[in-house]
Amino acid sequence: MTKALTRRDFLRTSAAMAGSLAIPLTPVTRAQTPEEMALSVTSPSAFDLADIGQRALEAASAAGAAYSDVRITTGLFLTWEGGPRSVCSVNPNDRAAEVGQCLLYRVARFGVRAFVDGHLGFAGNNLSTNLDQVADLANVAVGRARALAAAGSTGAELAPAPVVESGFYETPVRRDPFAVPLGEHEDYYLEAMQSMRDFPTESLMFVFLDTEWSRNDELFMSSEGSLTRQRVSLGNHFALMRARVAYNTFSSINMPTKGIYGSGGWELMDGLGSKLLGMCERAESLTTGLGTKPAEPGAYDVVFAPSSTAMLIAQTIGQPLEADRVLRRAAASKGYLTSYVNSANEELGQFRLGSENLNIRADRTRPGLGATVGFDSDGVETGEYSLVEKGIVTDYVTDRSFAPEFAEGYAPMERDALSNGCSSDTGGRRPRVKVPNLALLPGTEDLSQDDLVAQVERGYFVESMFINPDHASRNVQATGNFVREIRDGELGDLVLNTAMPFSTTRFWGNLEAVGGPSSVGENYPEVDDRDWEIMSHITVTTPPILVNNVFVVNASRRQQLSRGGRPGETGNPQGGNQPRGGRD
Amino acid sequence: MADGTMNFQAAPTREEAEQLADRVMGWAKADEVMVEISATSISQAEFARNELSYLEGETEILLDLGVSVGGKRMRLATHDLTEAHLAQLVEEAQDLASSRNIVGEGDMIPAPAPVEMPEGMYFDSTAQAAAPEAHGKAVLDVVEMSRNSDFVTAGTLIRETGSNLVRSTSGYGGFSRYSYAEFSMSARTRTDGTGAGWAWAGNEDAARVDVNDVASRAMDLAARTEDAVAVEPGRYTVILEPEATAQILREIMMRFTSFIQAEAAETAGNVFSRPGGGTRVGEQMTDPRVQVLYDPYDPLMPFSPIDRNTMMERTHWLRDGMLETMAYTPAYAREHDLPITPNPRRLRMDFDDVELTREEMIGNTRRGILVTRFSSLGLVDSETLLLSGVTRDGTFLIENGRISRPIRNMRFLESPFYLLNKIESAGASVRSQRDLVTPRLLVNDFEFTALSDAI
Repeated sequence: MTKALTRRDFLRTSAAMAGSLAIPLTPVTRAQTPEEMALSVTSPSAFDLADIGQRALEAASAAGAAYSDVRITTGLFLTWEGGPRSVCSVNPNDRAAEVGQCLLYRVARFGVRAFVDGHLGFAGNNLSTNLDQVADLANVAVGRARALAAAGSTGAELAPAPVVESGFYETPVRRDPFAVPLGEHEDYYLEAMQSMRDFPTESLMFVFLDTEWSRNDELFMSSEGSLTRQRVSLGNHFALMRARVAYNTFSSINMPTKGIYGSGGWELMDGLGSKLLGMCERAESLTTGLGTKPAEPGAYDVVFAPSSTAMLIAQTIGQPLEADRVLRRAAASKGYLTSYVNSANEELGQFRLGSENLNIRADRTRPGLGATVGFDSDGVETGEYSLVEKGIVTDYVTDRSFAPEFAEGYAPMERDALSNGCSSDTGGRRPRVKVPNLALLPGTEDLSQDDLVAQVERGYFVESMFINPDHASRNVQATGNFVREIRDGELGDLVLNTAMPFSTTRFWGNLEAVGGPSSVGENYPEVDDRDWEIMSHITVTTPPILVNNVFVVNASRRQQLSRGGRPGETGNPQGGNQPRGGRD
Repeated sequence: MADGTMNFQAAPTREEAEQLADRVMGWAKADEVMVEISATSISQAEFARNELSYLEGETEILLDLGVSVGGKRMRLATHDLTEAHLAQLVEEAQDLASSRNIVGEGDMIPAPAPVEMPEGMYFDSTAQAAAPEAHGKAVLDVVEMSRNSDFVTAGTLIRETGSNLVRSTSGYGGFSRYSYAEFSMSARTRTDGTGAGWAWAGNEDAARVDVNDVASRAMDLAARTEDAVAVEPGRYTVILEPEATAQILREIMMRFTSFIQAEAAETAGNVFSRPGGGTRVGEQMTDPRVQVLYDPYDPLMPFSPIDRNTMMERTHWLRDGMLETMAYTPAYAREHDLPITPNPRRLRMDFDDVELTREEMIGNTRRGILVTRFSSLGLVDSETLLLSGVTRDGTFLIENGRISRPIRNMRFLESPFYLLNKIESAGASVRSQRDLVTPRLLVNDFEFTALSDAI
């Protein structure tokens, strides 16, 4: 991260850049000229953007704001509607491969946040370079804050944060995807999809690749004197690979596609075809080489692969520890979600979430991860911190607006109530506190996934699943997408229709073992809507884990589905092996 | 706009939008051109713990340009609607289309069709209510009410207006305006927080969203759910309030989006797949008294019929319980000689013959459970659309025709397609979410699998 420029320097150097892109490019990025993708539209100059920011701050101050900040986002967002998708099948008529239609967004948004007597007003709009329109937007933000101030309610405060006079960050990229010719994009995807389509199989496999490339240039300026610029490049790609265990059956396994997501450039797509083929080969060997069986209800030792563990960490630890959720301040924009933490300050440093093997770090600095940026949406330099230590919750996911509310909880730890740098979203949206990248620290003993499996006499191995927490994340139902039996320390047959209802604290309390450093993988739970202005796509870095006493049930209900049903025709009332009347 | 640096900061009028679209189309040399100009202004006030959190507003105006050059297609969208930028954008779109390698079929734009906008899509009262003073005042009244009550509350008041213009080289297109207002609130008892309630109202006309009524309903539920007791999970007769029914229907709608694409059902396999291949179109899937449809001219939920690919019409997805159609993309529709059928953006569920009130349903129930709504629902099995979720904000035991006590929340495991085969009776359909109209349902043998600790 480079922070050498003063505000004056910035304006001077930016003036020389007028007419070029808003962010000075690294030599590597500069080598990839935008013309390679036939992009001809020019973006506003850095000089213009700083001028816009300054005008907004001045207008907000003149209108009575005690504090204001402005965020400007210009950028590009590229996706393929209908997605690259492919079907490989034992039936030649089913085989298909296509790319879809290309959609490119040119993003130009800005937003002003203003505090009047501790009340927050926000206004976001399309970016205008007309300074009168800029001042108008600032006045609207102040007007909104003033409308609330009239209520005379308790004012809020922002946590103090170091003024960053000239901060700069750029996501390291080897090749800018927006410098890759469009024809190369579609040829590359089509080749990968066709190689999968032609894969010989006895079954039926389907892959859908939802690609989203974004490159946002973000400028942040505050009335305190901060000015930061960053170019954030993200490959927010999502791939679903589904393989039926046999053609003409519904039972299937879902496999996560690894290594195509994160902050970075076109290099994220390196080896896409071979990754998909590798998945096909693995799926084929599993579906043709293994038997299938239903889940047998009971309490088992279960090994969770990193891909599954990542889901658990994001949704049962990261999100429930977001400041607005633990403070019961989440309303409709977060679905009125709460948390298992009842008294946020009293329980800080006291709440036992899991066993001593549970150590969670939060981080927005490591290159390549989904939520990595140089500065958050409050202009706070991002960092790394501990969220859970030896099973105890030691911190929350905070930003400048929520951190002061934890002063009482931080005091016994002799810590100041400062932001953890977890404010997110781009220019046109109000900044919101959101979960950052998370990491489960590996165990001291370098156990592999196989080592963990070897510890289990009778249990299950979960490679892929989705989970459904309740609104407080106290109780969870996990549903297996790709589960195998473990017998005498060895992986066995595929297990279908597996569900695992559990209490969050009991589950993490039974965390028996954690894989070692060499077993750590990066995985990418999507924790928010897919939208070019939303930035809470995160990476969870985790080893595999072994959890004792996980209650497993059979979730199959297919015989109950009435085909041509009439009222009262509900099929098998037991619906398989579902236990009845139990507690989570 | 006289000043070249000025950008639209509010929704363009119809005339402004048409002039802008015509200029863009005039610059284009592509074989086919479609321009869509959409504008949205959302004002949102949020409060929590009986304190105002913020008042925010976001406006977004987007011009979406689709071109086809010799069968090569490209779509570009931009926030910068200045003339100089748009002139460059047209060139860029045509250059990018030309740089593509895949040549598709032409005729990407529908034939022109007359369009009549539904009534009730737009109300000036909603735009006026979005003014900061009016918006702030409305929410302040509720916060004051909360401070003087025995409840801790959180809520969100939304006012939204917008417009949409579509122009194309075929002559297909039209202009629409809409408005929408919504208020939701949760309330918890102040003493120990064991009572929790929630209520909602939404309408195109802000004057018809009674904020005080929503607040009163949420507080009433919170008061009545304090000291809830546990009942044994199992199969119960349940009354699903319209909001709870809507959450279930939303899952069908979401899965319609991803599953009801005919291609998805035929390949990936899901609840709409026919065993042995193909889709389940023509099969009876639910009680024959169930109708699931959308209709742009539905007075309870009007919306613009203009879709990029076709003019939307009243479409039954389930008619008399039978799956009548799936969603067909233009490519699939062309290949299979079917009408283009866009994914459902909105859904309405009706139940024929019976219309009972809540009180009549309760009176008819010997032992059952009243469900106000659920926590976030999740998919368990795609073949049956088996869902899991947890009740919240008002779950009550019904005994001998009356509500006897509040009960602790429970997790359920059900498929909409089981549930819609177990309906005993239903109420009148009402607006229950922004994009859903649903009835209250009385359902037999609804399965609860476990107690939940969440309040």
